[in-house]
Amino acid sequence: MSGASTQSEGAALSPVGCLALLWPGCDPALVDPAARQRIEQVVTGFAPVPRIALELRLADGDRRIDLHQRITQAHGERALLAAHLADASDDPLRNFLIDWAEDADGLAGAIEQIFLEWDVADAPRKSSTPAVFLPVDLRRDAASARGLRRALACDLIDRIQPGGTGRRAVEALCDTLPLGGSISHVGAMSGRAAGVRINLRAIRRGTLGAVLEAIGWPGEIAPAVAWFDRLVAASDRVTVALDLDPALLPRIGFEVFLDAPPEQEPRWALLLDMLLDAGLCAPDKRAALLAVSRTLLPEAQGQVWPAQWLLAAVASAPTMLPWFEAQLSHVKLTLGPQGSAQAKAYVSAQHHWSRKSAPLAPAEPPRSRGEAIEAAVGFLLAARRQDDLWDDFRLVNGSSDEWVSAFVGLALARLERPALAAVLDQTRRAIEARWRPGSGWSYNAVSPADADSTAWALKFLNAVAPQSGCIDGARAFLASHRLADGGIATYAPSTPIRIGAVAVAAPGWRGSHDCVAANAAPLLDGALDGYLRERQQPEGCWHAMWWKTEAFATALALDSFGADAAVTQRAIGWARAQGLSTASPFDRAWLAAILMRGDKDDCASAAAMLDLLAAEQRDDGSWVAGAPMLFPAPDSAGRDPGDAVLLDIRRSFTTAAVLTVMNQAAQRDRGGA
Amino acid sequence: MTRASPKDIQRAIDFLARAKDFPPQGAAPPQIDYAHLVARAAAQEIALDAASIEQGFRLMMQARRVTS
Repeated sequence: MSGASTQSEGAALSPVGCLALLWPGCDPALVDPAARQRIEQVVTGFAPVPRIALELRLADGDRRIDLHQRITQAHGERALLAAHLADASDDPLRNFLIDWAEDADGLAGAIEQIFLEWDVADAPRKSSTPAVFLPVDLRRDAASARGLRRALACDLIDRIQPGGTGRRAVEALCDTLPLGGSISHVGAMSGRAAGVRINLRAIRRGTLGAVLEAIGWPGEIAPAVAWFDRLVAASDRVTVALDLDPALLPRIGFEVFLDAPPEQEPRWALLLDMLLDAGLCAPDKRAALLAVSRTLLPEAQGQVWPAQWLLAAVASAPTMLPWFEAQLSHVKLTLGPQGSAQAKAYVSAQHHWSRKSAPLAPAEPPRSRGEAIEAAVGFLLAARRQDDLWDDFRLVNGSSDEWVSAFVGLALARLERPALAAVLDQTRRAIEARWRPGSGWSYNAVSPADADSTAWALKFLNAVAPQSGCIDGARAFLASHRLADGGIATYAPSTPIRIGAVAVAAPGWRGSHDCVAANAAPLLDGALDGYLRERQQPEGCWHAMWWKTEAFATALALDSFGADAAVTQRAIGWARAQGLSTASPFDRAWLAAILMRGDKDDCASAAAMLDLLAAEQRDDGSWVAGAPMLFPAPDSAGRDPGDAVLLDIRRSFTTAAVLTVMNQAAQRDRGGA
Repeated sequence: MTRASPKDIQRAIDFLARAKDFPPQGAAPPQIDYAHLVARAAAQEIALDAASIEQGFRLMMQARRVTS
């Protein structure tokens, strides 16, 4: 959901409303009643932009809380900020904020949003000066494009902290930062003439030590690296925060993000357990953080809505839908000198205006297939996490990284490009590190090993490291999933399965699954060929257990065994009959893969389908999410047509699928397949 | 909370639909406070209680979500 309306532009919504809706779901262990009153008082003095966050210390008994506010370009927020600051006392930060708000010298075009941070102890007065954080490098810009934005950031530091000390400190760090290092934000700290903070993003696991040595960080590198690598492995991303005053201080912070809320992401509990075990997080605060995220709709029964927000909602365009979101945003671990450590959590509370998103526009001008392959590779490389894995989809047990990484890694490996060898080797090591000895791979680290994920991981390892020490054991594990009916199950009878905290028998997940057989067959020396031949449906497809549609399983089945002409022709006949107008890019790619096996007309149809997919590719190199995964009831022997579809929300799975088929077509065109 | 009658709810919807005619609010009024809405209605000689306003607003937003 996204988007603004002209009629909601400039609606002044007090951020105190965020607190009114946050408090009922916020345990007093995090914010006690006295602190609530104090915070409300402080927030009353904020600009009327309803987007704030609480910075909470997690140690037992540490009640200190700082406050943040994020101001964006949406909903007339800059104008609201300018009006709010109009009568404030003259100081460099206030003047800078007004220039940004009024777009003096094109500042607003260069700075997409700003973060303001108040220490509550310092901020009961309306006139207190916050620290300000500004975005610097864009997430996906090329290293060569960063110079201009960094120079601008240095100029702004100079404005906020006149004297040049902070500017020179940032410039010196930029000069020593290894190529490829990305600065996400620079912060100018209040109350200190030269205090600045630099946040570094996208540092890969195993490389922080080299970065810290290159920039001359004066702290203890070994414990910092050990914590960083653990946190990268436990999260979606980690940002590294360094303080300069004016030289680098021996303190380092790790901001740790997980994209989904705790009820959808079991790694939150594991991450907080890590901090709890290190003595950095009180148990009651851990429990409270896991329960704080929520989404509230004003029309929900019993939901009161701030009166001021209510009037703004009524006055807004009829297409605008107001809603509120409280989130556990991220946690931060700060390591100081002499082994000191502190953990914090950030809880955001914000009002949203939303309406249905506009359809995602394809790239302009439309791309050829060759261009689409290059753009897809670029998208997938940029989507890879700091721990060298990809993740996608989201179930009750979180997002998938092991299965998804093997699938995406295989798509890239099949391109057979030397330039990708280093990337694939990093992912190979990450996949091997996830192997459970004597077993296989899984949906993710908190799920039990299964046959399908193991088959994908084996295919990936066979492509990039056929001598891998995991292969023999994993093949035996895969073979152990064979069933008496000749098929193969996703989960073995002995595999413990839990949904959330509840153990389930899941007999349906332990039955024969044709989509898994289609995937695993090439790895089991023909043992599944007869079964697959029998399981082809009269209309020509193979049924999937874990997918809403059959194109993927059918394309895999044709790839998996020596299908004779009659089997292949039945599948092609089925593919010809599928309606393409409503099919997703994911399904159309696999249908094209099937048709490529047909006659001249079928091949022409497949080529036209792939050309159309190339023209539909988004500017960032991805395709619209379309892999229709199902989560069938654990006791159900088959899928239910009414089951809800779970799409690949990060678009990596669909993009890797389309890339796979386009690459197959390119190889056929070159006569190589 | 008191359950409002359909007539009261309709009156609340009519009242809220004219909300854009109200003078803009400051940045720092109480946040969950239907009392001042009730007072504003009373100033226009419209007898409304907080429950009617709450339910009228909910119906308006429900209608938006269905049609958007």
